[in-house]
Amino acid sequence: MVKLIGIILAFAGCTAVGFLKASDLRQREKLLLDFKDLLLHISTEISYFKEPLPQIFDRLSVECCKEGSGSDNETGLLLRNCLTAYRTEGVDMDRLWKNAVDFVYEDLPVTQRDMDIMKKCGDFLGQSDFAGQQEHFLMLNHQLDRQIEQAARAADTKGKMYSRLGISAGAVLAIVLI
Amino acid sequence: MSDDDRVLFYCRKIPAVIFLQAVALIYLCGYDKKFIISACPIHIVLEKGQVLLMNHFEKVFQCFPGSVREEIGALPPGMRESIEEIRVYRGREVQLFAGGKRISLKGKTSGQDINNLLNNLMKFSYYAYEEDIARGFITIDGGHRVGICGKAVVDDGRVSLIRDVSSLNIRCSKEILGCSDSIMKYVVGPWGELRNLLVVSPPACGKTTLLRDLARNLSLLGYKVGICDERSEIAGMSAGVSHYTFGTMVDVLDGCPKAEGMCMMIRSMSPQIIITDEISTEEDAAAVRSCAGSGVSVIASAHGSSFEDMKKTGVWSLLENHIFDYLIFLINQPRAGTVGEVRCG
Repeated sequence: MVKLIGIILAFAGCTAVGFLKASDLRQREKLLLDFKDLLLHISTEISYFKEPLPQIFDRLSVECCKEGSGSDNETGLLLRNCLTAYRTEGVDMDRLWKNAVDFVYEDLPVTQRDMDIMKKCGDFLGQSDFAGQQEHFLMLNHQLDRQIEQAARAADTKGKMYSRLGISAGAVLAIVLI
Repeated sequence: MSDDDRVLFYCRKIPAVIFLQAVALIYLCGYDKKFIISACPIHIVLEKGQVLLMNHFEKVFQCFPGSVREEIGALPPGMRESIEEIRVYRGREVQLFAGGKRISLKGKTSGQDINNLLNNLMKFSYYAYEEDIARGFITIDGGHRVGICGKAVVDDGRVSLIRDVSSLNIRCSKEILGCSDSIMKYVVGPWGELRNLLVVSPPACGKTTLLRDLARNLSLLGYKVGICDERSEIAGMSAGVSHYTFGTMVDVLDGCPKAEGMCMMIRSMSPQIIITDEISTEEDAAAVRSCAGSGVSVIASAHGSSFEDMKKTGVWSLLENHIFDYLIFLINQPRAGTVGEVRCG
């Protein structure tokens, strides 16, 4: 009986690992899409209202939380983190954006390249004139599109592979244990 | 009283009667344009305790480098509250002007410090202030004005930006509740009728502070007040909220060019009086004329130190046509906000 339970647990464990790995790939794509949406929002607010960044962050962080799943919404958390650092530490936008990206995305399934692109936003955000801001946003969008495409491909191919690999590994382990 | 005493009594009254008759004659003949009603200096900046001093300048101190912040923090509280101007120069010491005194802080400011300070004052949002920077100043939260000097970049004959910033002048915008109380009699007539008023002074004599308090007083009296605040200095709006105490009846059109804003106000908000700052051009004059012609009173300010100075500006035609009922000249001696002279318009 104990052996049977052990075999079932081993099979379920391996399968879960495979599915978790596959879901990480899907989550990466979603995180990148959310981040791209955030940039689109910021760029629209800049072009329409020409408001200072803290005011834009304040409004968008509330909207992000309404749209997303409360405090788990990463973009909302990123904006709130930037706002808190701005109000308490008063450091420059470059540093506080990069710190916030590190804080929010460090433990999430994004690659180092994704993080670097996200951090690039801090290099230009609020530091150039209106036309310059729009050009930077456009360039960053292109880079994000490439990453999203890559993430989608990975989720399609590697995602299936990881879930099947998990099941197969579980089955092999179960057979070995029998 | 004997007959002699009665004659003596009336004789003593004669000069006063002659004086009153002369005043009436001058007034009826319309020769009141250059007649000084009151040359007595009136302190509109009252002593502490008599009025409420509001200081929104503390936030600005937080934008400075740590060492400067510490030095400002070490100043006596009274001195810190009375800071009127902070001048920052590349490679030189920061200069504070407080209570009519100049204080030189220790330590020199580098170019990087100035850039960081300016970025901080702009809330790291250059794009939001680029048009203002091209005009040589920005207005930050609280209505404080930051003047910028550096290398001007000219594009198509117009200054498009200022780079290599060499100095900044941060002017503290103050709220002095009650500073316009003594002026109100020139704005509201005995039967509640509103008059047109022009406040004239050189820079840093308290024009905007006076306009701000006039708006508050008029609003509290129940008049509908419209403020055309092209440079965001009168109302110090931030995110749709003013940092200053106004009554409930003040509409603020923030950041809109004066001439256009005054016409928009008349069309949309039905104000009884419009307040605007620093009129100087023919367009501004035309807008004021249009307001006066629409039955809306105007309170405006203009740069100048004397009546003669006004002849050189675009608003002289307004004075020639007696659009303003009163002209109030402010001086900064013995302190900013002193009424030097009041003229009939």
